[in-house]
Amino acid sequence: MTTVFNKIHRLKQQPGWTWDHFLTEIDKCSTAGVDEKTLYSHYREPHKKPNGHLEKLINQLHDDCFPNPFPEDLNRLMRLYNHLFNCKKHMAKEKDIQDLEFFLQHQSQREDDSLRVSRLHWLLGNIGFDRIPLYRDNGMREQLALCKQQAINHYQKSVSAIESHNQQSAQTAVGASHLYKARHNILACYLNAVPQASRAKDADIIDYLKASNYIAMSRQTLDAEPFQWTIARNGLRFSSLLENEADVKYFFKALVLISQRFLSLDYEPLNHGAIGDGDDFQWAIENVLTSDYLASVKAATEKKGKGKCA
Amino acid sequence: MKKIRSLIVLSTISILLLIGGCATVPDVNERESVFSPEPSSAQSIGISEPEELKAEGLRLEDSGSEVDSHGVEPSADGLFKKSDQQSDDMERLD
Repeated sequence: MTTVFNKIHRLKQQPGWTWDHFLTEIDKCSTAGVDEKTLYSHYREPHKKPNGHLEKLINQLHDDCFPNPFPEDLNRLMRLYNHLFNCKKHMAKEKDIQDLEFFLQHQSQREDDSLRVSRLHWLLGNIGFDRIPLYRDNGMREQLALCKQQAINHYQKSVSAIESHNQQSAQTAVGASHLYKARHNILACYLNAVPQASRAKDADIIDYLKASNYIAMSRQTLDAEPFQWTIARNGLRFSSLLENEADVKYFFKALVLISQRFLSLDYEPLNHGAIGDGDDFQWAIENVLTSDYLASVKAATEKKGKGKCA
Repeated sequence: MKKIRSLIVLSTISILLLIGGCATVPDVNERESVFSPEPSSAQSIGISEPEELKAEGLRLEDSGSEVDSHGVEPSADGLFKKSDQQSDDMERLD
């Protein structure tokens, strides 16, 4: 899910969006508005959790400026599923999800419109995706393998439908960021299906990483949107799993550029653990992100900061 | 006088209820002592958990599902309670 941090950055990097203009746009959405300091701190700090009011306003502004290319009814259905999945008190949750899945499978076969087909498969992929940790943590290998493969197949069908749409109607082409997201989900299926301690040696993950060109795609996406710390963090994770020193350095510097707080490996951005605590980052920590290297990056960043001030 | 009498009646009922509540506790302990072996001794000599207790455990965890009660397919509803997502799983993007 795109964080408020990313959305504020994406909005801010539009031409003409000074802080004054940003606040004016917010005032148009709500009479209560937002305090300038609050907005700015959410722009600077990846760990800050927004309150409901700010989140609602930023989401509204973001949707206005960057409309989602998929049909609104299916976006809302996806939101409904997310609420259902995250609801801890819902009785017979899995049964209701199975009913929804049954409907989606039938609906996806009836649709002709590529974007509708894509979004239906995306949602089916999400349902399989969300089951992966349950089967993994309960040692249900057969079910795990099946739901992982089903989720991957659905995401791949979603990607194919987007590509087909983009070929047919260049004017309403779906942006590269959505294709990146769907491919990210495929890789996440491979990764999440394996317990953390075994990921570095898992042939399926390593093979898919190499075949999918994920690192190169992440670099491209970061070039376009350098504020996306989740992409930089995942890039660092997979560079570590691939034991690639140059990529580890690239993604770590990208994180520090977003916030110097990442210089501390104990730093916990919103909804994510510290890099220092993650098994997936162990190779990078032991071989690249040494205390000497961290000190050198810190010195270089401070020097750059002083250069800007002067 | 009426008020005092009703207070006495009420407090007597409360005491009786308390005694009744306490009296059920030994039943549970007694049942446990009959059915469940001492964990340490059972593990040390390799005795598995009694089947009756295993079945009861399953019923308690998956009580919300019709399918489970027939023993056809394990329900993921029970799994939702057992699984916390690992802190460093990749999140999905919509």
